[in-house]
Amino acid sequence: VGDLVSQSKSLIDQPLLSPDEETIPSDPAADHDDDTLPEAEEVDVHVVTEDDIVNARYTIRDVVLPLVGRNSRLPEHPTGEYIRSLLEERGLSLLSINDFERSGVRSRIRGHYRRIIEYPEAFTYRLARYTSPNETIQQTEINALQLHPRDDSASAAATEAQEAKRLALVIEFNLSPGSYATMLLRELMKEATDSSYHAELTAATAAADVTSRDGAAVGEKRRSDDLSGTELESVTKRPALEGPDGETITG
Amino acid sequence: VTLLASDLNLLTPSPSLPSLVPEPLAMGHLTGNRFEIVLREIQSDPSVVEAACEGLNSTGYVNYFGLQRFGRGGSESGSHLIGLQIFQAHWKAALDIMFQPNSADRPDILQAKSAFQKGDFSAALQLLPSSMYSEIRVCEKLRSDPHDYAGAYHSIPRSTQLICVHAFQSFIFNLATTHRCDPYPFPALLTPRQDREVWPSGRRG
Repeated sequence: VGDLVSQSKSLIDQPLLSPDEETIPSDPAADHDDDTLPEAEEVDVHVVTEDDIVNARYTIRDVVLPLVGRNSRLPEHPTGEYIRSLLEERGLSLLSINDFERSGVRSRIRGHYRRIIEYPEAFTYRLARYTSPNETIQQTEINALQLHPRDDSASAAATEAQEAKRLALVIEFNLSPGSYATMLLRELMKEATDSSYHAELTAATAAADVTSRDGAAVGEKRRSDDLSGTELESVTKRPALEGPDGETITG
Repeated sequence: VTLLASDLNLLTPSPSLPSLVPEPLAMGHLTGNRFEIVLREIQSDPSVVEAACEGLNSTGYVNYFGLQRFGRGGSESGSHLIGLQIFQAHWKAALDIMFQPNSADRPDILQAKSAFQKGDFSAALQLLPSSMYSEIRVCEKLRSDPHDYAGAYHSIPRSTQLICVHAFQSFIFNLATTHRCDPYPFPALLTPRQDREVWPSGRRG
C-alpha cells in the first residue's frame, strides 16, 4: 500500500532517452504557474490501495519510484518520506527541484518514474571450461565477419588435453533501454562493478598466470593459484563497496 | 573477471535496402539492447553459478542506475554532486567540483586541475586535453574574467549541464530504491500483497 505503480509502457525510462526538459519563460511570475504548462505527457502513476492488493492488480514489476522533478508524486509510505528527507538534507525540496538554470535560461526538469525491478528477457546462459586466459569462448560478430576467422582448433585441442580448469559463464539477454547491464552483473556476481576494481582483478589474474608459468614445479603452481584466490577475495571485501549507499556511487 | 561485452542493437535487423520512413530516428526510439557477456575466472562452484543465473532470470534485479551515470569522480566529484550545485545555483561550487582531482585522472589532468585551483587558468588551458571541452570553456571564460563564475558555468554545453542534473535525479532514485527494497529479502517481493505486512503505516493501508 502506498507504492507508486504504472503499467504504462512509455514510462520505460524516458529521462535517458527523450528531451525531458522544457524551457520556460524567464518571467518570474510564470515560473510557479504550473497550470499553464501542458500536462499531456505526464506519466500516469497510481498509488496502490488496499483494494488493489485484495484484487492483486499489480506486481512488483509495476512498482516505480520517481526521478524527482516537476510534479513528481512520491510513494505514500516511508520511502516517500525518505526521498523528501534526502532532498531537504541537501537544501532542496520537491518545489525547488522543479527548475534550474541552464545557459542563462530558467528551465524546468520534468519528473519521471522508473521501475525498481528489471527483468532480463530471453536470458540464456552456459558454462564453459577453458585453459588459456585469453582463449576465445564466444564468437563475436567481428570474428564471424572476418575473412580469416581465428583458428581455435589448436587451443581447443590443448583444452581437452589439459583438462581445462578455468570456468567461464556466457550469458545472453535483452534489456530495455535505460537499464544497466552492469547492474545485472552486480546482482549476478555480488561484486562491485567499477572499472578500476575490474582492472585490478584482470591484473591479478595476469600476475598469477606469469607466476604459474615461471614456477616449474607443480607445487609452485598450486601455491600461486591459492595466492590469487586469496587476493581476489580480499579485494571483494572492501567495505566501501559493500554498503547499499556506497554501492550506488563509489567510483 | 574479464568482461567481453558486445552490445547488439536490436534495431539493426537482417540486411535490407534502406528506405524512407515517416519519422526520423530520435533518442527514445530504441526498443532495447541485446547483450552477450563472457565472465571469466569464476571461482565459485558451477552449481552456485547456475543457481544464480536461474534466480536472476526468475526474480529480476534491482534497476539501479550504473556507476557510469555518475561520471568518474566517484563520491567526491561525481556528476550528481555538480547537479546538486546546479539546482542550487551555486556556480562556483559546481565548477570547483568539476576541477576536483580524482584517482581516475591522468597526471596531465591532475596538473591542469591543480593549476585551475591556483587560479592559473592559462596554465590549465595548456594542459587540458581537447576532449575535456567543458573544462576548456570554463577556463577560457575565467581567464577573461576570473570572477564570472555564472558566465563560466553557462559556457558549459547545455547537454553537459543536463547530464549533471540527470545524474542527481538518478542518485536520489538509487538511494530511494535501496530504501524501498531494503526490508525485503528477494524474492519475497513478488506480489504487492506482502507490502501490507511490511508497511502497515502506509497512509492508505
